[in-house]
Amino acid sequence: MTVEEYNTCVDDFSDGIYRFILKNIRDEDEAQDIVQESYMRMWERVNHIQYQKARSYLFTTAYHTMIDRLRKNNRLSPIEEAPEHETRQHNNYSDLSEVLSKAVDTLPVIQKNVVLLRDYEGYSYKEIGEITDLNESQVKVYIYRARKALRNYIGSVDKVL
Amino acid sequence: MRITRANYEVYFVDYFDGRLSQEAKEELMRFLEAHPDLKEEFYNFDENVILQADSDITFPKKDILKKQETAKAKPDPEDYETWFIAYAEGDLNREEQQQVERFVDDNPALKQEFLIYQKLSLKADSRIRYPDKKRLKKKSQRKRTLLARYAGYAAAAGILLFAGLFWLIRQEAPERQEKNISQLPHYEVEKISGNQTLYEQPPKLIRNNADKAITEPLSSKDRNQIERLTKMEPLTEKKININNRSITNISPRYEQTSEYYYQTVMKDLEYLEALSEYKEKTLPGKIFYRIKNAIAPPEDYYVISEGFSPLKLLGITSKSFGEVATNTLPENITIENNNSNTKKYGIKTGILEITHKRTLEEDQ
Repeated sequence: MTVEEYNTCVDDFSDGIYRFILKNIRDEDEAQDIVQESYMRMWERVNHIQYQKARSYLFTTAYHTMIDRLRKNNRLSPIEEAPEHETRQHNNYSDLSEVLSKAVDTLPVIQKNVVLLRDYEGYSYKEIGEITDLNESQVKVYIYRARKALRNYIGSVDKVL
Repeated sequence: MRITRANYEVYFVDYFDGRLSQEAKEELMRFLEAHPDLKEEFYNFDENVILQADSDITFPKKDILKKQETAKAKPDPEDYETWFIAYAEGDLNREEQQQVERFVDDNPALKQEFLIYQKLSLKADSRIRYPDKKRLKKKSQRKRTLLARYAGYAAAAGILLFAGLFWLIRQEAPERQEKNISQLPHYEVEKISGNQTLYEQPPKLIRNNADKAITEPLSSKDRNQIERLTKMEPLTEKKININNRSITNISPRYEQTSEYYYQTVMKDLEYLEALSEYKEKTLPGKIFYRIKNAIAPPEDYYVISEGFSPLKLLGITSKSFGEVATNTLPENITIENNNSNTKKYGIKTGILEITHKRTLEEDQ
């Protein structure tokens, strides 16, 4: 990858990675730090990474950096279990995307991440698996569970359609 | 390798397996002529060593192993969620899609449920941007050090700009003003002093300024952005306290928002950086710029992005502005919000002076 391509990666992907991380860690400074670190690591290996793989490399690095940090600080609640969440009516919102944005925060970390990668970035099950070290069918199961949980969070249908 | 009495068996096996080259075959034949006892062994070789499986023996319990083809899974009123999800995720083939569609037609009570599953996709907030792209980028060594230095100054300039804006809000009487062109966000950059005046053709500030936005027809892209921003209805009924004053009924147009203002500011900061670089090429020395006549949005022009902070937007952390006085940094503005206690931030109008400074010592 050339310096120019590297810089293009900054323009094209840093926003997406930042949004993804920020949705997990609600600390802007730390999220920015993780983005920076990911680019720094890519820069160290810039001669070995193909431009076509850069986005994936960045997301993978950012994801693992984030999980490591959460784990280190004991901020990683059980990664696979959801906090019990009763179905209720969230009708304080007028906008479905706002509801969903809140709802996704109630998901277990891993479900949340696979669904964010899917929706924010449009990654396939396979690509998500590569980023998160899961196999394709695990990714699929997590996404299905996440959708069900999101659905339950919303509550009554009339309010949002 | 030569064929000898020690290794001839390997050649025999390879010969009968058809793995010898023409050359090796010829050599083998010469070897056999020279060793008649082995020639006999060779011609008896294959019938002795090749085994045949007994085709009469069959596995008697095939039936046990076979599977019954079960009726193909279909969505049913007890189990439709997974199907609806799969449909929305695009995991179904055409036939399965049609199956789901027929199921929904047959069960109108589930129609809404079906629709809602297709709306569960999350959308990233496109207003959130990584604020510090410039610093992530790489340049050639020489250029980088210069740019790094100036990026800091430009950022500091930005800080002061915002600081000034905030300062002014506290000074101003809380009158509502009519919106007109002169009040749309803009400011000018002027060189005010310094030892050197040698540059002949400083770079031009190219800026899509506020006036243009209001006088020219909006592009469809702008219109979309305006639509997006004005759609943020939730703010309209919320109370916002700024210095003990309440503001309600906010529904900004795009060019009245800080997003627009931010874009303008960023352009100008880039300009300042370009200007500094230009100056670098002509003559080093002290340079001062003043931003004058800065007009930010009036009171109800408002920042509406959650998590927005002028500092963060500019990618400025405390490291960036070292020498610059920091006692006029913007304060957060808290928005009282029924749903959550999110902090939001505003930018206000003001006049300020920025000092863009380099000394001769630095260059040496």
